[in-house]
Amino acid sequence: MPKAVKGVLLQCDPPQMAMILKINRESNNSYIIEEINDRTCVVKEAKVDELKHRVKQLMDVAMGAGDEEDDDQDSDLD
Amino acid sequence: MADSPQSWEYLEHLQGVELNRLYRSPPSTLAIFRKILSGLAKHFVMTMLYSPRPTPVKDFELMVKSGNAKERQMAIDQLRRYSIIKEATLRSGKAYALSPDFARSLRQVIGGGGIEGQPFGEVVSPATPQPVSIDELDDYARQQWEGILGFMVGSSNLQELQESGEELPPPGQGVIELLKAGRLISVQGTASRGQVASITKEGFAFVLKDVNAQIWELLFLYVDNADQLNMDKIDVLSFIFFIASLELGLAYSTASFDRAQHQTLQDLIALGIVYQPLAASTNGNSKVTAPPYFYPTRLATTLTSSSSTALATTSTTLGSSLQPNSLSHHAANTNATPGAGSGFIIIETNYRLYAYTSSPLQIALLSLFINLRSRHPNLVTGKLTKSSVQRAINIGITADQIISYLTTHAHPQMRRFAAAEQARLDARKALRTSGPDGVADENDEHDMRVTVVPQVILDQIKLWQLERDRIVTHTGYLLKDFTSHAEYIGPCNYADELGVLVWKDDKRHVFFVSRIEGVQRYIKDRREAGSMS
Repeated sequence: MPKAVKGVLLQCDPPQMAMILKINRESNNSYIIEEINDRTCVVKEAKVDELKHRVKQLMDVAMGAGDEEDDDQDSDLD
Repeated sequence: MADSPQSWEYLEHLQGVELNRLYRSPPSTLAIFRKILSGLAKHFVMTMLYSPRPTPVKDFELMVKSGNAKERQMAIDQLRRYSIIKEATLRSGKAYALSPDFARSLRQVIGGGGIEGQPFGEVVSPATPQPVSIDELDDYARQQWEGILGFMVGSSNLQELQESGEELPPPGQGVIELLKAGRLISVQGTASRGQVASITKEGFAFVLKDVNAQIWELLFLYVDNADQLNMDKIDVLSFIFFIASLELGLAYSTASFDRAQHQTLQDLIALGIVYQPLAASTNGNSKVTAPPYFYPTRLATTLTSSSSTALATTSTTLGSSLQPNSLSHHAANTNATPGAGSGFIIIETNYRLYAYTSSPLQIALLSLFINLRSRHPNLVTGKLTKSSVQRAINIGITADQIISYLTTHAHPQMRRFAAAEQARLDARKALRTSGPDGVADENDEHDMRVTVVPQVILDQIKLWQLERDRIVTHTGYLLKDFTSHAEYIGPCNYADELGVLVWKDDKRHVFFVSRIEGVQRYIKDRREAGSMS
């Protein structure tokens, strides 16, 4: 008997999925409804934005916040 | 077929009963027929319109080539979602019947007979004391609409707009409430002490949309909030469709309007959709009275038009108004239409941007994703940088929105340059293939198209977005727990035919759809068929 589950399909690359799984584990599985594979999972609709935000935060920390190179330099216009 | 913007889905959430009430009004029926239905769905409706009996399902299959079953399914699904057709039985076979209300209204529109009253408005004749020209109407519509957008964009604390001192008229309180209700802006403070509004993520996405989509989004918001104003949703909706069916440049009488319709009219005036010249009353007191007539503006008359040229005229006549007509939505299509020459942006391969504009609204918009450097009387210059693009992405603007904005507003010179490059490329290719050695090198494999905005810029904007935003999400339903491959493959293929399939995994027998109704029906039907046999 097939079942339908309402939710949000989330697709990303494996490293990001690792982060998502980590966040989900640390908060008692409060985000993910169904883990499918290392690129796909189904997430609770109300939690998507929160999850995205946390992934971003985690990523910023991982990549180091100080990599903001000064790409606004435009010397020959000055 | 009109590409139905997101906001149209609002109608799909209405109950069948509500929709049928809406279909009792001929202008609404016509509008939905023109604006929403796909070409094939229109064809089906026309086939069934004058038929006294329901049309058997088999007939629909005969009307469409077997290779195009997908399109047929999508059309039927669309008609069902809008309660335009419903299931019936004909000689114990499955058939579809048109909703009687829809059919009657559409027949009235086509045949012209048997309509009580004047559903398409009463033109004031002889003409009003001071006729209003189309130019004046355009001016009024532009002013109101830019006022609203300017209010939204200006509220994001962008210095440019505040320094420039070119104030656009602020929108009325009602409009502000509407924007607030739609969470396009959030407001702190009270009206009397001056409000501080800040634009939200949804608001940014809103200002970069095309004018028609923007108006509908606001109108649907308005309809949604009608309950709070003690008005009936369906009445308001059919009134809006009525306004949309009027003709530009003519004055229409308000004599037959009821109280709610008068109120809606006032709100539409604030949005710039209709115009009512205010006259000081003649008997001496300073009270301003509204005359018993009004003019629809171009914003109104193109509301339900399905031709993209009409929509394009709205975009161009509303001048600096923001955005792409529906023609150039696809980034892939970037050099498809040399626009009406209204572009003003030059962007070079070194990411520098020159925008020939003095409109505070445009400058404010540009500053969302460009680091502006200098401002001259008719020109602003700036540079597209990683930080400026990512800043934009952080507040909810997508790379595609930026690209589509840059492309539609590209300066004619950029279009000419792209066209010349394309011609050179084509010539070189022709020369190579017809040359003595006749060897085509591998570059010919992918047919190169020169884009208006340099390819390197397009790629870079997308890359910058990807760096920050690598997660893609779709809302919908996951279908799982199929017991066999046979049980799985049917609904899955059906979902694909309907165009609702987002993702599937054949091995694990799960798939994800954006809409469930059609698939549910399919599974149910099949189960019934299975138990019968």
